[in-house]
Amino acid sequence: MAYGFEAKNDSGNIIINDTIENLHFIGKASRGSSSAGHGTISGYSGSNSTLDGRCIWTYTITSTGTPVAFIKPADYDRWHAIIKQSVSGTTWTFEVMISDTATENPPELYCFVNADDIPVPSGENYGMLVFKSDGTSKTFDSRRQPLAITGGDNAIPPEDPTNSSGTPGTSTGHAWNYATNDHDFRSSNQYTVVPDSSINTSNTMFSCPSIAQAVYKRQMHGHKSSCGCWIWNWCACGYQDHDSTAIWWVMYRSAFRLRYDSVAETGYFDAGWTGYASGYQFSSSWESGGWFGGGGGSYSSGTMPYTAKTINRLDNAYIVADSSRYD
Amino acid sequence: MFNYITNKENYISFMDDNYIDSYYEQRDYTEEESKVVVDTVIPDNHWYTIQKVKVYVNGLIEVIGARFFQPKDYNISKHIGEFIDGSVTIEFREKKGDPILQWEGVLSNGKIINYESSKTLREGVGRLVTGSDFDEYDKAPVVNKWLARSWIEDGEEELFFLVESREMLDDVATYYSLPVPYDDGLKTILDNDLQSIRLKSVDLNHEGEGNFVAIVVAGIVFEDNAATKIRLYKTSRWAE
Repeated sequence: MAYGFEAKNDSGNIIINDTIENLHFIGKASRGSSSAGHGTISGYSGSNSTLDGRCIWTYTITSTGTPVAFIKPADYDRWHAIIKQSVSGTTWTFEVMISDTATENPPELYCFVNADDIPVPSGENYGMLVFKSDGTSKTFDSRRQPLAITGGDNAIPPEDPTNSSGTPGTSTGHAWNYATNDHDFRSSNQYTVVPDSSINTSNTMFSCPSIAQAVYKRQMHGHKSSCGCWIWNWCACGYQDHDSTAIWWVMYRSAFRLRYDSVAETGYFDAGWTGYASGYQFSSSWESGGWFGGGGGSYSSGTMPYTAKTINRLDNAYIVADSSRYD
Repeated sequence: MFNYITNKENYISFMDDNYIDSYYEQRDYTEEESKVVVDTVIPDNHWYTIQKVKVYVNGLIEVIGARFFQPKDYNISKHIGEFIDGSVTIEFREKKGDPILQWEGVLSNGKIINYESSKTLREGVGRLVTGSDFDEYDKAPVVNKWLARSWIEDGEEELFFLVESREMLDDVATYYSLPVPYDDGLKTILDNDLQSIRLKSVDLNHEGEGNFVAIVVAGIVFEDNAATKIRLYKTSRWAE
């Protein structure tokens, strides 16, 4: 069987041939349930409890091939990221995280797969198909819309995801039971900017892996010492130590935002962070004495998934496309 | 100090002749000198009071108890008491679970007093957001801070609150149509030196050291959902 075809653009770049596998639009993924939370540090009620919040939407689509998903924001002010992609049989599931706890304006997920994995439209027996050298597998099928990439570059989020200057740390010397967080764990100011003239905030959708993760914590140790009884200037009953520890932590995933400056008439691809999970731990120790002395205990709203640091922070390739071509 | 506790003679109260001060001369001691006193003079089997608690109901003492220590090991303490009528004794022991109140009271009749801190106490001590303020109970509106609750299986329940003034206690007693818990002597203390009977000082309002709140505690006892008595917990310390 004959095979092969080659089409180039005005710049001489190959658009279609018998080896390059073109991605074709298979459809928008179906949106399912959502879970919102972490608008505040979980379990904590004091200062600096506010986080950016996040909402996670689940999407599914059926495909025999691996889909490449593009996020088309409904609210371009929010940060978006695909944080999980999995498959069971031919059902692909995506978890899309969006900053803010609001469940309004979820994005749409446009999915693209290889030509061979596109279901053949019933009754459409005309058009152009390009086959590989094996004569059976396709690289292009005009019966489905091929992906037209309109822009792209590399983007990397800043290492520190937190708005406060510097990453949070551990401090001692606080008063017993002191538990006032002094670190702003929000991420709204922490991002890098890639100017991209192909981006607008009407139709642009993007695909970019969220690989970088970070966990940071603020830890405060408090202490108080008191003597049970002074006998002639001697603490005959011994000193009683009152110790406390307060820990606030937030886990982040890298997330992205499309922006357009109407004055400069250019778009931007922002690479930043969104808080995925958070927790608060508090412990206070003194004698467990019932009415006769006090008490002491601990509380935890969650355990940090790993020690404080940023991992997997690398340049991520992103690509953008015009979603209106596929509506 | 006690009449019903086993080996009651081993528990020494502040004013007893053989309290720990009786083994020291009136002069400054170094740590080494004190150790000699502890190792050679102070009986090993004696427990010395650090904090003493009397629980008042209707102007009478219902329970007396204390936190005790032994000089050879400051880190070990014992928390025991007895009902004045001899009905039961009580010993507290550690119990994990609640974020703040990690103890339970074991009564000599085999029953257990369980404790649960309130949302208010948790927020005040550790800025926690968990717990409840027990709104399902009939709560006197004059009380500003409910601190905890206790319960005995198939028995009484008790709601503990922060006593901010003697007048507050009076209003609580009026609300439940119960007698005030204090006697004339305690009334004077409540009016003039309320914080001296505190259980503990805690930064309940997040105002920093120097502004800790003296936790003076009283409790409403409920039996079959009806308030039956008001308890006032009076803590005293050495040299107070």
